[in-house]
Amino acid sequence: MKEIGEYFKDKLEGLESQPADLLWDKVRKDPAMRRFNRIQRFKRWSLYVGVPAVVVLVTAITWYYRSSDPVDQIPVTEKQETHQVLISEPLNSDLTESVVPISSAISQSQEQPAVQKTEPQISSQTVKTPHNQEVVYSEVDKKRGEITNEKSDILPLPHNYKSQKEKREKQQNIEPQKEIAQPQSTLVTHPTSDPEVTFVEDATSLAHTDPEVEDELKIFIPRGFTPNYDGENDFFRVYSEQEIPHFELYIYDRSGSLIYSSKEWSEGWDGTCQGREMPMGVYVYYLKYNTLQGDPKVKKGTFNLIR
Amino acid sequence: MTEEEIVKGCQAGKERCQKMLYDRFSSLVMGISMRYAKNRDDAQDIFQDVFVRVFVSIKHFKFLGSFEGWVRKIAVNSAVSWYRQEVKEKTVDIDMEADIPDVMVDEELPFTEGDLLGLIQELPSGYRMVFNLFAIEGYKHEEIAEMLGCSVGTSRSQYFKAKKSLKKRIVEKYKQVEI
Repeated sequence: MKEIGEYFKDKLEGLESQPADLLWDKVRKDPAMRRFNRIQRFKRWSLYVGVPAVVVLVTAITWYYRSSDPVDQIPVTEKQETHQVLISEPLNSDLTESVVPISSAISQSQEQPAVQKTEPQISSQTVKTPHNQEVVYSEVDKKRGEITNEKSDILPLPHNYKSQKEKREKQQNIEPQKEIAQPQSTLVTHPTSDPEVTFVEDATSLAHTDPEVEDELKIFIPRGFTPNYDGENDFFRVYSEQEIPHFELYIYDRSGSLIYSSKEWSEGWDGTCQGREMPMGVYVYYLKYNTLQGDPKVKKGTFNLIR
Repeated sequence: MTEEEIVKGCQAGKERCQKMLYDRFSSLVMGISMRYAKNRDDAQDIFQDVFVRVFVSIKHFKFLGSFEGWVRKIAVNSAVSWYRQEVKEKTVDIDMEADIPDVMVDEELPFTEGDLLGLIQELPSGYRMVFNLFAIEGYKHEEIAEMLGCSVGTSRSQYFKAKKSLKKRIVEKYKQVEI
C-alpha cells in the first residue's frame, strides 16, 4: 500500500506528452515572441554593424585630426610672405644640389634673371653697412621701384653642410650672397654672430621703413643640420639674438607625424625620436611665436637632416 | 549543440535555437500542462504560454541550477496563472488546520499513466491545482496558498478532498477492472 499522493507522484512526475505539431507555429507567431526576437535581432545586428561603424568613425576622426595638423592649416597669405633666410655661403656643388627640392630648383631657374639683375646692388649695400640699418632700408626703398613685384615662393637654398674649414676656403674665393639672394629680400648681416649666418627681413616690412620695424625679431632658421655630435649644427633650432616670446616649435617627418615639439626657444631637436635616430631626409618645421609687438606669427618650412 | 549553446542562442533570439529548445522540452512541458488542465485544449493553451514565457524570459536565465528545473518552474507558474485567470469557480471550503490524514492505495494497481492523468483531469480545478502542486511538484501548503490566492487551510482541505476523491475513483475503476 502507498500514500495516494506519492503513488501519483511516482507515476506522473516524469509524464511526457507529445504536443500537436501546430503548437510550434502558434508559439513562434505569438506577438510577445515576435517582439522579443525582433529586439534581439536588432541588438545583434547593431552589434555587427555598430562595431565596424565605430571603428570606421574613429579612423575617420583620427585621419581628420591628422590631416588638420597645423602644418597643413597655415593660411595661404602667410605662405606667401617671403621670410626667407639666407646663408651667406655660396651654393655648394653636388651635396647641395642633391638636397634642393625639385620645386625650388625649377622656380629658381625661372627667376634667376631677376635675381641677377637686382641682387648685386643690394647685397653690396648691405654688406658695406652692416650696422646701419637705416641706410640699408633707404637703399632698399630706392631700389624698390626697380625691383619686380613678383612674390617669390622660392624655398631658401639649402645650407652648406661642409665643414667650417671648407666654408672659409670658399668664402675667400666666392662673393657671398650672389647666387641666392631673392628679389624682394634685403640682406642684413648680423654684426656679432657667426659670419655664415645672415638674417633677412621681409621685403614688405622693410618697405615701410618705420621705426617699429627695428623692433622686429630677427630669427634664423637653418636649412639643415648634422646631428653627428661634432659640436657643430648638432641640433635643429631657431637662432635669435634675443628671447623669442611665445615660442612653439613643431617638427614633423615627411609622413606628417609629429616627432618633436618645444616651447623653449633656445632648445633644439637632436635628430632623434623616442631614442631612435631619425633617418636622413627632409623634415618639416612649424614655428609659432609672437613678434615684439605681440602679434602672433607663424613660419613653416622644410629642412634637411644630414648624417 | 549543447544545452548551454542552445540557451545562449535563444537568449540572442535565434529562431533555430528556439526550435531546438522547443523540440527538447515540448513533451515535458506538454506533460505538465496536461496535469494542470481539464483537457487537451486547455493544456495547449498552457503549453503555448509556457513556451512564450520561456523564450521571452530566457535572457534572465543565469545558468545557475538546471535549465529543466527552470522550465518546470515556468510551466507551473503558467498553469497557476492560467488557473487564476480562467477558472473563476470559487470553492468555499472549511479551513483544515489539523494534519491531513494519509489515504492509501495499492501501488500494484494496474493503472497506466494515462489512466491516472485522466483521474486528475476529472478533479475539480481547485483540487487538481492543489494536488498537483503539493503531491507532484512538492510545494508546501503555505506556498500553494500564496500562489493560488487562498488560505493555507483551504489548500490543506482541498488537498485532502482531492485525495479522497481520487481514492474513490481508483476504487471504482479498480472494481471495473476486476470485473
